[in-house]
Amino acid sequence: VTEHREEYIELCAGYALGSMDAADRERLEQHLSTGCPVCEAALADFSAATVMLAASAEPARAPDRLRARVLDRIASTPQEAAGGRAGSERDARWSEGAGPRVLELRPRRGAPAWAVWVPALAAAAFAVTTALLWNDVSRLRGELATRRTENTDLASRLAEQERLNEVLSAPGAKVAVLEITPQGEQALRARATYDPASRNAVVIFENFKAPSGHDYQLWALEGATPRNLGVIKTDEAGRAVIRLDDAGDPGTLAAFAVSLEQAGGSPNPAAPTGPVVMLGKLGG
Amino acid sequence: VAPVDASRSAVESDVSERVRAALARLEPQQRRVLEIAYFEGLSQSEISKQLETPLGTVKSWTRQGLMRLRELLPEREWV
Repeated sequence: VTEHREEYIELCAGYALGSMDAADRERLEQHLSTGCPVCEAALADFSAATVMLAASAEPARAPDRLRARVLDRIASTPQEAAGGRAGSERDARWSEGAGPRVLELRPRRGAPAWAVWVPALAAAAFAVTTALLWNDVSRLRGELATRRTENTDLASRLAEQERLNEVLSAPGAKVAVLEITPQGEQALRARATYDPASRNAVVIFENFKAPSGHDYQLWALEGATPRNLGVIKTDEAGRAVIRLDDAGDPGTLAAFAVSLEQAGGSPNPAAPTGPVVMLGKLGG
Repeated sequence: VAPVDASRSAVESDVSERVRAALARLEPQQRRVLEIAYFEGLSQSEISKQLETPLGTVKSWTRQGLMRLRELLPEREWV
């Protein structure tokens, strides 16, 4: 992710409005492509505001503008060029006199009355279409943002999986299958894999459903000294996979233990307070 | 015109009314840049030239205008 900067928010506004210059647009798109949650949220807001802007176009207004533009165009057209046209006699008459010449418009013979409304209708239809398109655009932007989030999510899960695999498949890895002590629930299952080379460990828990008001807590035993590795957070099925970046020194790390503690873990951070329910020595 | 269409267009014009009322509450220069950008399709640098205003100012008016519009028209009201 390229680092978010406040100026990007301003770029997002121009982007949503579709009024951005090419260089700015490229800069922002480059930034957005790396997935920036702040900008994506801002963009969604600005796009919504732009859709509202579209809704402000009243049908009467577009024809007015159109009329003004057409009149401007006529006013800026060189008169020689317009006056020289053959056949213009029938529809228009140039009145000569001091000051600018004025073009008098007369109804064309045979032109139906509704023809007058065609430009107005076209402009109104255009305003509606524009509003609809902006709706689409903002919806698509929303979807794009969702997909980016999903991608990021998948990528981070994949990376996590790879880190787990590194430990689980390390050539010198040692395994500890944790045994249930007399105080432990019979359903508990846990298995630790420790790679002495990287000191990383992966511990997999199954059926870890702590009684209400309690938490299971994981400990490393270095020699006989416990070291707190944290409370075990499981999913609803009682499953958890914990990756430890530094489980301990290969020279002293001897075993892993699990204790049943009050919610939040042992009040004494240096040792279990509740019963030790599982214990497993590291094997070869 | 079917009655359904009539009521729908009444709703739509109500939305337009509210959006226009919100636009009227923006700072004039904010409203101006939004209207030029959206209805006349000018880019920010073109707007900067037309209004004889620094590009950075046009960008910041755009941002402020859209943000204000968003605040004045919460989505639940608009949809």
